[in-house]
Amino acid sequence: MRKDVLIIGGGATGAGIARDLALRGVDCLLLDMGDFCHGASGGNHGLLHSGGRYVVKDPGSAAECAVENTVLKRIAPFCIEDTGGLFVSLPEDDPLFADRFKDACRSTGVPTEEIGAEEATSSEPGLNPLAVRCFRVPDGSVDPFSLVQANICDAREAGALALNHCAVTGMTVEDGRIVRVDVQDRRGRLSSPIVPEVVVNASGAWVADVAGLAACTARAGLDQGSMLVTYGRQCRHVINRLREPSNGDIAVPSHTSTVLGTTSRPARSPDDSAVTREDVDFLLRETSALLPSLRGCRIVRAYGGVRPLLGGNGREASRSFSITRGDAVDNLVSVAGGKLTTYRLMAEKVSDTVCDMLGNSSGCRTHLEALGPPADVEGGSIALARLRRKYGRMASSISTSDTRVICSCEQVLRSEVTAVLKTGDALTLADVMRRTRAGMGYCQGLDCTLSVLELMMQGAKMDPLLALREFLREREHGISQASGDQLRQGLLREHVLNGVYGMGEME
Amino acid sequence: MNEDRCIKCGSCTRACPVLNDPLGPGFPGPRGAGVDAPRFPERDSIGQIALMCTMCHACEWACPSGISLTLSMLRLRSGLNEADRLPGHRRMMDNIASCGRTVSTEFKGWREEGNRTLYFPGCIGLGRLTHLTEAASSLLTALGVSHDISSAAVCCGSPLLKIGATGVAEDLRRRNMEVFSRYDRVITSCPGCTNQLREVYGIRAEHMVEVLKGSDPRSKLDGRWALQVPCHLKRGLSPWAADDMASVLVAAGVDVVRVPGEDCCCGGGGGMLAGFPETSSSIARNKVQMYRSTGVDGIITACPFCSLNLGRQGIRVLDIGEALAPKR
Repeated sequence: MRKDVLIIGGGATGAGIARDLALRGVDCLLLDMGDFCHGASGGNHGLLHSGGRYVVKDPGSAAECAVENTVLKRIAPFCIEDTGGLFVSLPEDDPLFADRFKDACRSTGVPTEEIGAEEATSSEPGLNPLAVRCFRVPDGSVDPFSLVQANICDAREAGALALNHCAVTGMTVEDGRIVRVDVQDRRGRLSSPIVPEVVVNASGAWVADVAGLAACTARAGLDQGSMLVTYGRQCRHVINRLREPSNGDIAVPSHTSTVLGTTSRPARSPDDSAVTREDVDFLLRETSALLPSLRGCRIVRAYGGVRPLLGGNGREASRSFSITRGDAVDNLVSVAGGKLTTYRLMAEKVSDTVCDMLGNSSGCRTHLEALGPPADVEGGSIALARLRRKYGRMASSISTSDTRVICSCEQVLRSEVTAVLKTGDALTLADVMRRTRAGMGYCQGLDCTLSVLELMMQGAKMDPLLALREFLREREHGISQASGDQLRQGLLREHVLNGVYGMGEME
Repeated sequence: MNEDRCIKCGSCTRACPVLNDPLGPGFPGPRGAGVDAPRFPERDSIGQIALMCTMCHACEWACPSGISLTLSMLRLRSGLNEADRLPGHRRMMDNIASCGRTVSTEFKGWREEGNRTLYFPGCIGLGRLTHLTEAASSLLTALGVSHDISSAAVCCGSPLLKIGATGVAEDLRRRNMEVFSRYDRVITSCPGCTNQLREVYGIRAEHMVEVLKGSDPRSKLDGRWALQVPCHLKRGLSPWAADDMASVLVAAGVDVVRVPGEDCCCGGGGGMLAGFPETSSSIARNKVQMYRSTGVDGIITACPFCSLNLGRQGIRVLDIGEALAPKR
């Protein structure tokens, strides 16, 4: 199969590149070895940065975030909750940092407004009353799954081909060019190798592995970060600790929960995302300094992601990104680093480079054209507003007249799952979850999994027990550190799955 | 609130009399309404389905996590819009506005003699089941409890809270407190009233069963009788009050047949009788069928709502006051 551009990696960056190139009229193919968004694009806070977090130590990245924050709120308001953010310092924090923060915000273009502690606690009632300095910033909460999905939908509409569960297994290099890329499609749609003009390596944490297939090097520092998901929304704003970026600084309200994070440690591999007991205790201790009610809060799940950082390590590394052409190979472009918030900018720069190589002179339009429906469509119902947040333009094709709920934690309608299965992208239970949120709630799939599986089996041949085990095992990792009510939840789950359904040892 | 303790074990949904009734589906169930709905802040009101619960507390009793499902449901109801009000509930409101009680008053035997004890029969006892009130009153007299039945006392407000009319309920409380201030002791026949007076008014009202427990009434009742243990007696007042109900009757010489399910809801509580009469009588019909299969001559209960709802299914239903009344 001949293609102008092959993009490897269907995270935010890859999906953004596919959309960008497709809108410029470039014939491109996007492949992901797993599901779209299965790596760091899905394993993050869901924080739409204002840039505030990086103003002092990483002003370049802060300025990028500040610009992209407004762009994304303009083009993709449907998947962003404009909660606003607060940066708050406590008595034990360095009092001089607040002034440095204020100056740096001004010089990097991050909009801030200092408010009194009283105003802060009245707009955020759960905030520690000992708060000293407080700043408002335009942080937001973004649904990364919905954002990536919308990019893919748009790319497809503009003519791109995007396939998940389709792994690149080998590359043939001749005369300094990749002339052939071998793939393995789990669903057998792609049977012949790809013959691309240009290959874009946007595989995030796997960037070095993919470059290696063409005997090239690409560097990314792999850094693991842990996050916790709470029961219920514990704050109204994105809450940040006003100090040098450190661990356990951030709480982001998202859908029915709040995401607390993060930690930072070097990762051995892109899959090295395991969360330790110490991470959980540490995150709870640190974030509850900002929001005291978190101390007794039920933690639904712990999860980790592996950040592909640009050079350096951990907190010291810049959150900016780099685009490199393969050393010995002409038509390979690798992109590394960056943030979810700046994915569009990265995609724009990569696409500029690619278009240069192809001799295509059209300019980027991704910042001009809406990625989904506008934020407040007049006359829309509450149910529709929730669907729009998850599905963007696809929301209008989902019937709300059938009110049967398939996942009670997240109130996912049966018709949502049916609609997602109809697109043909969802191969596994986790794929359905990423698109619908069925299984992300506090019972972690205990209630909905079998019903979702039943719907999936109506349309496709699959081994139900294998699918079930794979999914439940992954969910189980998230509650292996559970305590309190979530531990009770875990015990019930074990009892039902093993004792009642007789599914045997899950591990 | 403590909805965050849910582990989705399903105990509440298994215990729910509405959900398990053939006419019940449509009601999202205790978990759907009490636990899941509050998680979605953008969903300001879940509409009339929030009114489909009988407030029988069975879910709360079954819950291994101790979630206050009934309170959670009441909170949902207090957030209902005026437009969500059911026709039967509108009628209740109209009656309150015109006579201070949820049903029009038929009772004529008011006693305002300056006694220190007030017998508070409640709206059903003064409207639909005046014979229940007369029997209870004469039983009290026979036991040597001189009492008033005041025409100035109005609805206790419990049914209003159940349909989300919190303001009206508060107004009624103020009116009643003025009446109650003239008495040392308040005795009720309806466990709904007893609970309301205790928990919302903060006064130590007594239910008839509690009064009877200390005395030694005799019954002339023939035949075999099953019990309908009222929800608000057993799960509202105390499980011991429910035990007392049985032991008082046995001690009085009644042939009591204990049947499984005697403490399940009759379907008449929580505003269901007025709001969803079909579901309410469907639950009652199935319960009465169960009673009939045991071959009893009738049912004894201690709640006017149970008497009314089960009695409509054509089985003989007596209030405990009637069962023990001196002259029948």
